[in-house]
This record gives sequence, C-alpha cells and structure tokens, in this order.
Amino acid sequence: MNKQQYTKDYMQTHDIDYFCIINGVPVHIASEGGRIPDILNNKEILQEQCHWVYGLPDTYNNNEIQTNDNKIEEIINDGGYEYLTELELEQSKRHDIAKEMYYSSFIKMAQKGFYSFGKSNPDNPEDPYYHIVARPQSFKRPASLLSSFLESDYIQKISIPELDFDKDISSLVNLKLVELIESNQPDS
Amino acid sequence: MNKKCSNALYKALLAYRETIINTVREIKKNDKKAYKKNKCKKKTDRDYIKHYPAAIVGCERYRSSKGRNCNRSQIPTNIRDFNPELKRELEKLGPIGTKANSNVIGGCAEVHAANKVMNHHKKGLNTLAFTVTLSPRTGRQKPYCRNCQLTFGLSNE
Repeated sequence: MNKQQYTKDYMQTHDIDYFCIINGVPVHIASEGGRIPDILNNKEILQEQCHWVYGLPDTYNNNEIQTNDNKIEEIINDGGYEYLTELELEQSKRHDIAKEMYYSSFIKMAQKGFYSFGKSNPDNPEDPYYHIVARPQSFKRPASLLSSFLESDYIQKISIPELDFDKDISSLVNLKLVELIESNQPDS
Repeated sequence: MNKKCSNALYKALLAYRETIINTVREIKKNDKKAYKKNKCKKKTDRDYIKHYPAAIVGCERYRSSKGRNCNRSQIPTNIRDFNPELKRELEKLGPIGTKANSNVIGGCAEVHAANKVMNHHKKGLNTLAFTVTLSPRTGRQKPYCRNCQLTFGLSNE
C-alpha cells in the first residue's frame, strides 16, 4: 500500500468524493464506504479535487437537472427511511424529507456539471454496484473554472467503451464502476 | 429486540448529520481556514472531518434523558480512551483495529457513541439504546454490522 493512498480501513469508514472524466463526461462518484479504484486513489489528488470542485460555481440550475427517480423511489420504499416515523410526521412529508436527504449532495454535483453516482448497496463495502443519481439534462459549455479543472492534471481521463452515458437515466444502474475504471486504461 | 431510544435522540442525530454535512462542505471548500475555524467552534466539531464518515448513529442511556451522544465511524486511534467494559467486549471479536466479519473492530459509529456515553456516565453496555445507523450523505438507514450485533446485542429485525 502506497503511503499516498487511502487504506482499506479508511475507505471502509468514510464516504469519499472522487472525480474522473469517463468518455469525455465529467463524473462524480460517492464511495459510501466502498473501494476507490487504485488508479484514482491518491490522497493529495483527491483532496485537491475536492478543493476545486467544492469551490466551483453552479453551471446548471435545479430545473436543468435530471434525476434517477425510479431508482431512488425504490431505495426509499425499500425501508431506507423508516426511522423518520420517529419524528411523528405525516407520511407524505416523510417521503419528501427522504427524497431531499438522498438527492441533495448528488444534485449539487450535477449542478456543477458532473454526472453523479452513488453506491447501490452501501451496507456492503464489497458490493460492486453503482447507479446514477443525477446529471445535467443537456450539455452546456463548462464555465471557465470547471474547464480549467477538467484540463488539469488533477482529473484522470478514462475511456470505457461499454458505458453509454447517453442512455435513459433509469437504465444507468447496476454498473460495476470501480471494476470498469480499473479494467480500462487511462487516456494518455 | 433492540431497546427503543427516544425521539429526541433521533432529532439529535439528524442535527448531527446537518453539522457534518456543513462542516465537510466548508472544509472541502476552504481547507485550512475552515479547519481552524471549525476546530474551535464546538466540541463535536473538534476533529478534522474532511470526508463524510460512512455511518453515524445516536446512543443514549435506555429510558433516561441523560447521556446522549451522536458519533461517526472512524478508524480507532483512541484505544486508550476506550471504556474497559467496551474494550473487553470488542476484544472478544479480535484485537481492536483489525478486521472481523469484514469490518474494522472498533471502527463503527456505534462503538464511538457507546464509548462516550459509557465513559461519561459510568454505566454498562446493557444500559444503552441506539438509533438506527445512517449514511450521513444520503440519510439512508444501514443495518447494524455483525460486530455491533455481537457487541451490543443489536438486531436488524
């Protein structure tokens, strides 16, 4: 294990944001206790990425973001937010709170221009599946700060021919993102 | 059967989640300046939280309004501060900091929350009640891991 890399234990106890460009599309992945691909696991670069991205202005407003409602409804209805009953709120209100909680951090990333992915089964760090949560609805020329970031050495460009981000958002589920990133060479 | 915790503990847990989200966001944006600012702000923010923890949980003394703590998953670097009874129970799984049942022993949010409550109130493991465990980013409920089920007698039923 390289000292510059986060250890397995650290990754398992933390939910780390990481970024890359896949097939020309800026991608954000929330690790949610899962493993970060070896080629992207570099503490210094990951910290620099966060510093850049969290300082970026929004390129898209809320109406220009597309969300994966089918998948998120499935997660909410699967008992992921049952504990909200403890707050003695009406059911519709609880449902709205659950949706807001789930979406907020991913929509923020989509507003900055990223396709934002979450882990499908965060209960199991070994589970390989990810799904898209939010993405910009249409392409806009990135703001200058985002362009500088996307052209910098802090973000890797990767080609994954089997991934098609133009597909319907609800079909971008059950993706073994970490394995796909690791099995494809970064663009030089 | 898990001991039922109070509604107030759930409210405290959701407030803790908000604090974590805001702290992480601010630290990522402003880095060192925010670290210094947050470090001194209040007791719960003292640690440098630069990534979301994978899990958070609330713990309190069962049927008591006293002794409430919300905490997060983290690598156990403070083993010396662990309550002796808790430490003994964890060591039944293996040395603290190593892995058992695919999880780091002593790394769970439950352990850190329980440790605070036990150390502060000098009460045993069997007096604790927990909230469900949440992923702070999404607020989604996570099942208790095998280690926590064995240590605290928690069940996912």
